[in-house]
Amino acid sequence: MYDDSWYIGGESLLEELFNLLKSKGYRIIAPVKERGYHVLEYVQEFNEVDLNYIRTINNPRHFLQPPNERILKWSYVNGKPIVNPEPVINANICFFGIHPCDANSIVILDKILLNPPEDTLYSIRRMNSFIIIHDCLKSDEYCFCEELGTRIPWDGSGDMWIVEKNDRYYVKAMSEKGRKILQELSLDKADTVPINEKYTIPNTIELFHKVNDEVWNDYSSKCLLCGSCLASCPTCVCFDIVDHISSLDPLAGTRIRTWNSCIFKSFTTVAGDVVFRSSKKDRFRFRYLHKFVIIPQWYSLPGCVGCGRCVMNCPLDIHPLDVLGGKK
Amino acid sequence: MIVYQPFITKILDIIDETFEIKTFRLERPKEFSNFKPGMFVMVSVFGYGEAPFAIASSPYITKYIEVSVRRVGDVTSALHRLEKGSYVGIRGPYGNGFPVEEWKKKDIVIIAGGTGLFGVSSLLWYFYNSYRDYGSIKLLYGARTPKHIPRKRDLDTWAERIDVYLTVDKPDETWRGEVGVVTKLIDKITFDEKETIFVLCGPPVMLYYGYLDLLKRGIPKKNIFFSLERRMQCGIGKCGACLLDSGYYVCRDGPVFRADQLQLGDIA
Repeated sequence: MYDDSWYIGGESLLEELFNLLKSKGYRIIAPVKERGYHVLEYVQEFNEVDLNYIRTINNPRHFLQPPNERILKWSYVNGKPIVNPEPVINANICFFGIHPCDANSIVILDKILLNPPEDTLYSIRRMNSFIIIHDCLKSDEYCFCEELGTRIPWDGSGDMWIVEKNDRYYVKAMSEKGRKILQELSLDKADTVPINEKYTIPNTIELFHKVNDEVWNDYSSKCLLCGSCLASCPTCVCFDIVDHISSLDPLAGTRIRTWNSCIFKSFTTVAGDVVFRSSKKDRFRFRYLHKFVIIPQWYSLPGCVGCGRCVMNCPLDIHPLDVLGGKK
Repeated sequence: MIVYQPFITKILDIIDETFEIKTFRLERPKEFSNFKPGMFVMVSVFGYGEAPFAIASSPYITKYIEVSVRRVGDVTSALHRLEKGSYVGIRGPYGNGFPVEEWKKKDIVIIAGGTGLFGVSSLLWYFYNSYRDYGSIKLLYGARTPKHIPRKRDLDTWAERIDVYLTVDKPDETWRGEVGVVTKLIDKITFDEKETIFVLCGPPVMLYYGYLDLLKRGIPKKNIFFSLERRMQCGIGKCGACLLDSGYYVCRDGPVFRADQLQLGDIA
């Protein structure tokens, strides 16, 4: 068991940590402010990083299971297809300063994608990643991690957790990998604990089953099926696999993994145009079922981390907790 | 080796079954593990995509596997255009298969409709070989018209050891057999309500009415099994396309389910 006590860092802690990881060859992904919005991006220098943010437009899934990811290439040689897997970039990556909710979303991705047989594309990236959680400095009306009990990073969510409080940096290791990096910083132990609050995870299964048909009809008829909630959701993991023929050579091409989601008809349409969950209501409801019932049943974790992106992006302000009636 | 990488395999033979169905006999890749009856494979035609198909050949055959394919979508149409000697991609075998060990000594009734016959073909081959370990085995099969009946040579072979009952929705002038939906055949057979195992595979509407019919007859849910069909991208419980309301992945936890595992909405 690693030492999980809190340490205290000086003013330059974040910069030191940044440079230490950079010197170890990590490619660093951090929040950057662009045209008024924060985005997770690859950065070179510490001064590009802006940790004073609420939420980033994109989320860790964009890097760990990117959209339109190439799986393999094929080409026909004398009538026989030759298949070559696309190499996954085997580089160490560091998420520098993601929030607890997004770090928790990685736990959910892990549960689904690392469950044997492992999704090898994801697992290579995941094994090579180092996650530094930076505790939120502020929140807004869209955040609901406290209501969902996802405010505190779960075991397995990150390697290091940093809390900025009273002009001091509190740091703790959350994994063996994190402990090794922390040791190199040679910090003093903290005499206080920066965060003591406990949050309970609500019984979302129970909440879901209390939602009546009228509520599902009401919200699903409002929903435009625009997909903003899915594209921004850090725990939406579902995908399609499609073939793209090369524009240069009709006998060659690429197999690509793209994101798809249960709210779209195409997701469950089988040959002959049979659609399972053909009504909009069934599809709208299923997304909630997956996140608030199925994932909790399989993994004893909520399938939603309360990051608030879906609410922020929804043109009709549909809030999962309004639907479930779990708002405090 | 990534999990989504298919093996390249040769089409050894193509058998015309009906005007819209062909059976593809595929060389079995060396790396391919043995399969249980009821398992499936993902077949790729590069440039068109990948789709799941039940293994329709006998689990006792090691040289090749067969998939029977109705021409109905992109991948299936592309498959139908291929010729003997060409190559496709294949990965698997996936899924749980039928719990045949649990069923030893019991009577079995298999109810299949349309292309649902392919979902139970490997099971029928298994019973054809291992019939001594079981009680009576019956197949009730319904097709749209006599012209829609595939794998006729297999139906003849199975009939040597399995009671085969056929029906069609619409007869033609050559048809001397039963007419009507497949569930009507249940009236033609006798069985022990409490002990017989029922296996259903077919279009959602057949599963739904077949299931309700069996429940009405007092068949316990634990003795009713389904082999389900869903859209699949990965075959290994990741992509979510086949996830049922009851929380099971058809590819990973199925495609074979006991009725008491499922909600009615999962069936139809």
